Amino acid sequence: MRQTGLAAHAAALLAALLILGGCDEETHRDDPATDGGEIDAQSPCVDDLTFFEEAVMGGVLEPLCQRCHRAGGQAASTDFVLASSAEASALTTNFERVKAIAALERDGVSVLLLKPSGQISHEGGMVIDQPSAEHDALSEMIRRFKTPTVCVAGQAPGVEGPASKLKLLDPEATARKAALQLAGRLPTEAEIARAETDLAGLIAAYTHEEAFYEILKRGFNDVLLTDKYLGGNSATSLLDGEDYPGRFYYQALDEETAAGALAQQHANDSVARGPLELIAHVVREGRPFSEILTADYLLVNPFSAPVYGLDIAFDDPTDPTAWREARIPGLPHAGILTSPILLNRLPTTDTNRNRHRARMIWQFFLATDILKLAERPVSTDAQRQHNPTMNNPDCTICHIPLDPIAGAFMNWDHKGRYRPPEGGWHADMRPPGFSEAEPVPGEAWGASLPWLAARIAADERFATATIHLIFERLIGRAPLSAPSDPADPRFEAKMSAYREERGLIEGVTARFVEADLDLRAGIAAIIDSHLYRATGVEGATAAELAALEALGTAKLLSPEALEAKLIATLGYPWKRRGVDRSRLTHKWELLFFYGGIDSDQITRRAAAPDGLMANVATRMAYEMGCLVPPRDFARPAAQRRLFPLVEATYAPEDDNGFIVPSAEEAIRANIRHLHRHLLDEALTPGDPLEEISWALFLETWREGYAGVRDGSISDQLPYHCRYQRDFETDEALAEGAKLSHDPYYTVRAWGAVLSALLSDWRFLYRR
Amino acid sequence: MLTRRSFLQLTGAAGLSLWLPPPRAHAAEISELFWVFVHASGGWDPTMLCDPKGRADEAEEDPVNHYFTDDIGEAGAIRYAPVGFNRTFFNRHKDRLLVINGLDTQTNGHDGGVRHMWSGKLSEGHPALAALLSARYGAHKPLSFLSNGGYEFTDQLIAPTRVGDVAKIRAIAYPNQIGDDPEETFHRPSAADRIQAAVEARRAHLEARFNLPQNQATISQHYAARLGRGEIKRLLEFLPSEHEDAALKRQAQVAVAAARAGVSYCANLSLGGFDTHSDHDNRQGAQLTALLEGVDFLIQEAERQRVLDRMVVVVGSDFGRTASYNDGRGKDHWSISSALLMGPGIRGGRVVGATDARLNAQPLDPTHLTPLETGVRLTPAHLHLALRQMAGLTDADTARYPLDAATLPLL
Repeated sequence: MRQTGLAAHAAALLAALLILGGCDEETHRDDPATDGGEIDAQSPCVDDLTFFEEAVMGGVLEPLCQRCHRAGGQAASTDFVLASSAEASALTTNFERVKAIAALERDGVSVLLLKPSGQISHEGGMVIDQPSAEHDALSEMIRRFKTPTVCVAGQAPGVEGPASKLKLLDPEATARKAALQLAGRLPTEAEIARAETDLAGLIAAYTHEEAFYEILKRGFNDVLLTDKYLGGNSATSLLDGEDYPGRFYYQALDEETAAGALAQQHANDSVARGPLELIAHVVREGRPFSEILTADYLLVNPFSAPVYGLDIAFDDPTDPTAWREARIPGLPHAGILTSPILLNRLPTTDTNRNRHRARMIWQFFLATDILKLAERPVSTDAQRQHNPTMNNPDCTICHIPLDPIAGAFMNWDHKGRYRPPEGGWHADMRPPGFSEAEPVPGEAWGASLPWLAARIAADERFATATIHLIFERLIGRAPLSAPSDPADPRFEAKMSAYREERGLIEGVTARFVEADLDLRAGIAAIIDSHLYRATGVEGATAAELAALEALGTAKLLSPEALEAKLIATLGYPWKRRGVDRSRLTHKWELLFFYGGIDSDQITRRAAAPDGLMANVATRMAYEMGCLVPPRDFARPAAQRRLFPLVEATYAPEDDNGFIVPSAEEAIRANIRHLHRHLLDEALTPGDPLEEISWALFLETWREGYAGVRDGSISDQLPYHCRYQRDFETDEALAEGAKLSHDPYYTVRAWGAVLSALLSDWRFLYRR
Repeated sequence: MLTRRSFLQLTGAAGLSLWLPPPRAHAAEISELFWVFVHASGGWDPTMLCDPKGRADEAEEDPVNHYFTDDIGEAGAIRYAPVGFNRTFFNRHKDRLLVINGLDTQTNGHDGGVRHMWSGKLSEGHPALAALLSARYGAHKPLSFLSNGGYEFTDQLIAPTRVGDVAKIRAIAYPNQIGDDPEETFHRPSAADRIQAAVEARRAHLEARFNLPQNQATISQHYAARLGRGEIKRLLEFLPSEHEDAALKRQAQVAVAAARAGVSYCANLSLGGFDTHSDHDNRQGAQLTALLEGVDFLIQEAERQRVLDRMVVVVGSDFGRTASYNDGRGKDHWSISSALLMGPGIRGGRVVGATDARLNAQPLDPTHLTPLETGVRLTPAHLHLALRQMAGLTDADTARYPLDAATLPLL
């Protein structure tokens, strides 16, 4: 029987939804849950799907019915099997299934009411009372199935809803954000001008730049984690010596020769990067993204082709970026699925039987977290059964969707080798396939993965899954999942936020599908949406603010993204010399302290900063604030990124302590330039934020210049920060090109301003 | 300083079987605690640890374990499996250990099990207890929640800190210092102070402009992380110069040093390799040995650093493993698990909860905690409610994270 607390929750939820409208007056009058309530004709419309989700799924079906009426549940063999919320499109699937059941009637009453209230035979007995809030919710849903509630324009959520209260990034700010994120650079002035009239075209252009593909590969490595095999022989040693006798060919070459040195430098990493390069290749060619699974080829370059024993002529045999499609004889290719690198990254064992691989397939390409299916409380009483993965409902809930796909991997063994099982696949598992209803046909038995890839590519969940993947890369978090616990005090707020975001994602997915799964279109659709551009909110109620809780894309930059931003804005990564290791991105430096991953042991990026990370950022800001101003001032003004409007001789006051108006004006103008250049912060003269930086500059300069004049402070820059050697070549600069002295203390004062801005939230976060 | 004596005064003498008043220290003392959550990642086997079953003889079919029932050891009230480091560990720490058996995690999925064990809630949304406690008592500490893995979800209450190569901590602790010479700095100290003041001065402007909840949360995180940045250098004072090779011991060194330095309130330690679907006895045995040696080291290190009397330790895993072996001599997932606890506020030398011969949880009388057919099945929610109560968390602290269970006198 239901619980009192649950009933109270359902009643309150139903009352709220009924009051929100969408029901005729007659129903309201008869509804005990709304006695005494008044119908607000101005209330926003509640559409049928929303009502179904909140009052029916959340209030009745999930807590009371789904335990049995689910795949693998006790009622799995009935006509009424509900999809788990962990599955993509579960809501619409369940809406249609419930609608079909609701249409079945006895003596004019729907079985959707008769069964759970025990009025006709029901294996589960009576699970709802009559009258009750649950009964009312089902009654209202049946009425809605018969007479759909259509919200007129202006009433639907998302049109006049909370999203209308959002403030969005303007085209220039959007272009700046997109340029950094997609191309790793700042937009040019011409691009900023173009953004006003052709933002979509500008975004598309960024996705054709070479840097975009590097960023794309890095993003997908966060998913596939195949960069674990970069370096040494990590990737080539995964390959079987009999299948690929040339896997270590590069070791036999003389490293003193140019060809030998290049091969030893690139062979392993070219093999390791195969899956990521294939992804980049599909996008570069503008092909449907599903080709990453269905490609009947792998990608090789001059250094990986010999590893696979492929004799391919390349125009430039020394170019590691010359990737080409190729086929390994006898191997049925299925894009990245048959990559030995990815297969090794998704390990399996004799007892696991490819189930981990199948779980990842569901997660990456079908937008379904299988493990969430198992989150309902399980019963140990039911676990003691013969072959539980086939017979125990607590196990079958995952194994029904998992095991067919696991079986489809049957021809690839735990080492990623193509080894069709001699004795066939395990008889005590469900047959290999896409699902129990779609087994691998006999003629495809030897090429089960290409067959599976085609099934996945044809499934509508693939588009959703792809959008989820790029959403996470662009927005910085996974899409919200539906809250599952109605007893959660924040359930309604979470549901509201989830529904708001889901609607936006569905819109983006539709555009991706319309573009024939061109990933660039999916990226452009996200960037064009509120998901990417929401920056603030105006005039929202507390409830509306709750619905917008997840929006706002502020996200701590990863070490790699921060490095790219430093290069884009300052012209340098965080290191003193070009030959040094990057402080931010090298694993022996501060990569892990700043939340980075190694694709091996550490695979999840830090989402929020802690005290250590704050100190890393401060050290970066201090060191760059010391190193970079001399380099910038050493150039002619027209070539400077940071200080184009001042000279190192521009002191704000004369020796008598009087402000020099022309110098102050130039300094303030350069401060505004820095704010815009580094923080995308457009200031008008006299802005309080300009005043903060001006005061920092002036006070630092006053103290420092006074010290230089009385000899207590050196007129030389700190030795570490003097610009005396070329950054890239580390060769000594000509005397006239050096900058070691700072007799007016302006270089160091500007360094203080630069350090403050590099420490700022607007610099360290993507907005 | 919290002393064992002060806790005994609050909780009564350790080992009393009657339920005593909730073992809660007053707020000032609780704020001095240091909590360590040790996660055995992958799902451990309680029958090879603190809930031994064994087999009667070699002829027994489908035995739970391969060791013999007659060899099961006893350390005070605690029975332990006769394998690995168990004998040393349980005899050494039997008086401080509370063993909870028959803990029903209600899942055989890894993510759900980890979440249930460390947040008290099977479904998504509740933060780790470490995050709740750190936010409540340690928000002012720069590395309040140290994490080496396990369950890290914080619901944005506080940021977990991951520690990389400890040798780099000096450069991080002194961000304005160029090298080893404290006199060589990027900016003059007075300028560095002004820089920080300028950064702080911008906060109100940012908050006014970027007012979406998510943006506000990250602004808040950004400035919260900056608090007490200077205190990180205190960690250096207590970090041993020689670092342990074993992963869990190395994690313990940093955690204890952070406790001694007063820069952390909670720490997650984590050891993987427990998901032994094949070759169970060898692989599970090796990992359990590494786990107990690590916890033993943690206690010794805490004693050396003089923080043992304020350190609470909770050891747990995703779930348990099946009573039967599979065809690969492995064991699969089983929802019944155990937990080990010790520290101030926890009455040691006891075992709470029980399982039958095939590792099925036995319901408990909610008052006396003895097996009772119509009683309560212990879940992580019960454990978390007891820990929350011991930690003095109020309804206001936990209103967003309710647990659907009765409060039991577990601790």
